[in-house]
Amino acid sequence: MTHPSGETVAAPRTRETLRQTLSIAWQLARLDLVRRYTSTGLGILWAILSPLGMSLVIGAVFAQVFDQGLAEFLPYLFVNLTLWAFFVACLEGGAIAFVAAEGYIKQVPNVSLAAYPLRMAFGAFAALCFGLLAAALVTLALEGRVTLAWLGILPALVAWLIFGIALSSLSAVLNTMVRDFAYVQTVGVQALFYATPIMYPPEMLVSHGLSWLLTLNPVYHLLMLVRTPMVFGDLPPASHYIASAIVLAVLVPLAVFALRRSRSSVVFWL
Amino acid sequence: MIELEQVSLHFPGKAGLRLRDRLAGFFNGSAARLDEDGVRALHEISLTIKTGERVGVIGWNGAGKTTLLKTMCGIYTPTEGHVRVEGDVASLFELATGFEMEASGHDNMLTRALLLGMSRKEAQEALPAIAEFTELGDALERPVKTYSFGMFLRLAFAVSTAIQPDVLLLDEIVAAGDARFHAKAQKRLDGMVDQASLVVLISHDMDTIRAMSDRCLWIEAGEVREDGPTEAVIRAYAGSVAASS
Repeated sequence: MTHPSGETVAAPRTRETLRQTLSIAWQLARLDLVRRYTSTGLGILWAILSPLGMSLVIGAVFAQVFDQGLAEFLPYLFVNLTLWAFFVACLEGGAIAFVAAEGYIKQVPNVSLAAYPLRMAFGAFAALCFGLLAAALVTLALEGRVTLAWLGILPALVAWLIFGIALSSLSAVLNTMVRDFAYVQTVGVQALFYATPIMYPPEMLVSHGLSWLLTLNPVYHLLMLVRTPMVFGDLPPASHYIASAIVLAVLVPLAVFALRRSRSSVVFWL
Repeated sequence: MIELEQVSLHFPGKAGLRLRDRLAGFFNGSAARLDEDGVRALHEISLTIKTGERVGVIGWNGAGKTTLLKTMCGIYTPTEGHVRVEGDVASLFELATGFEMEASGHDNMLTRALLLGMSRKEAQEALPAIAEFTELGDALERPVKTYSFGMFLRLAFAVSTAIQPDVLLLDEIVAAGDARFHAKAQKRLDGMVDQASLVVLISHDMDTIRAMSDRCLWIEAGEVREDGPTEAVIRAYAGSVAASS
């Protein structure tokens, strides 16, 4: 074993590290899920009820504004809000990932720091899968059809998981390094919520000459990968796949870089 | 084998908390830099501990003993210098921290076993014996937030000593729980020490140091003040303590 360089670590060791990192992350995520859902009366149902309740409220208001039937609008809102909840959970979970693991980081050597943001992303992803399952059932009940395009949801989910892991890792490093960042992040997330077609259709931005806002919004492209198949029964245009791939191709190396660079510093930042 | 080459370690002070310094540290990939109000925890320590050696570490509180061990095992990356360790390392310190309070004793044991490098399968196989060693019985099904300090120690000790390392780093022999458990823990620890190829042990109890080490380091203000045969170093240390009181 050689540290701090770490570069000398051989390949089998790398696979071993990855296996250990994943099993720690999943174990901690599992405990988080059990804690979160057994401490409430309705348990994991909240992963459905919370976005469903939001969807009903927002849907009732906007159905009036846009003169649209609630039944048409509901699946759209439900899918959007479930994905958005995942996005927020990864960022917020990531922000406290290292702080919550302080006891481990200061006591146990040779554990990859990635385990802790991964834990947050895994926990959020479990809730996402559950929520989307419910969204699919709601859509099915309201529209009564399943198309082949639904198969497109599976690769889209993989993309979302990678997206969430990268976000959670970046959030963990940034928030631990600069405590002020939490406030910036909160404002940024809120702004992005209104800039992303979640409560309204994307056409609304286009008709106001704001289509560039859509093009530049990474969440929008990833959102389309899931909601176009689920809500509209079609595959999204290839441009969204390309844009999503670019987003991941930028975020993932960035997250790896951030974790590597902060490996020796995090323990001093806590 | 443990090799330290010109190892210095600085904890950042107030200045080190500044955004500019943290960013600089981040982009250089280095840990803390020395700033005026920072803490110089270790200063240019060079030493080699060979396989087979049993080394005791003594010194006043705040001298840098624990920091030295944490640097040896890789929890802290030195600000300057290099650390080289051959063999699997296990360390026992701050045992009563690092729990998921809402989770059961069982789940916490599993978590800890994974953190220590066991695979899930290995951990599942090792858990019954670990659980038995804790003697916590049904309490293991309860959330650990209901545990007493002694129970935390039992749990952490039982898991942490379930793996036999090559290199064993001990910070103050843990006085885990009541007299009977303590005796049992001491026995397990003695067994580990016997089997480990290299042991470094911090203690304030000179009898423990005498009994368990043949070489002793006296750490003062982050530097090695004396390094030699246990008896000689203890005598010098005791002389200095007597002189200053």
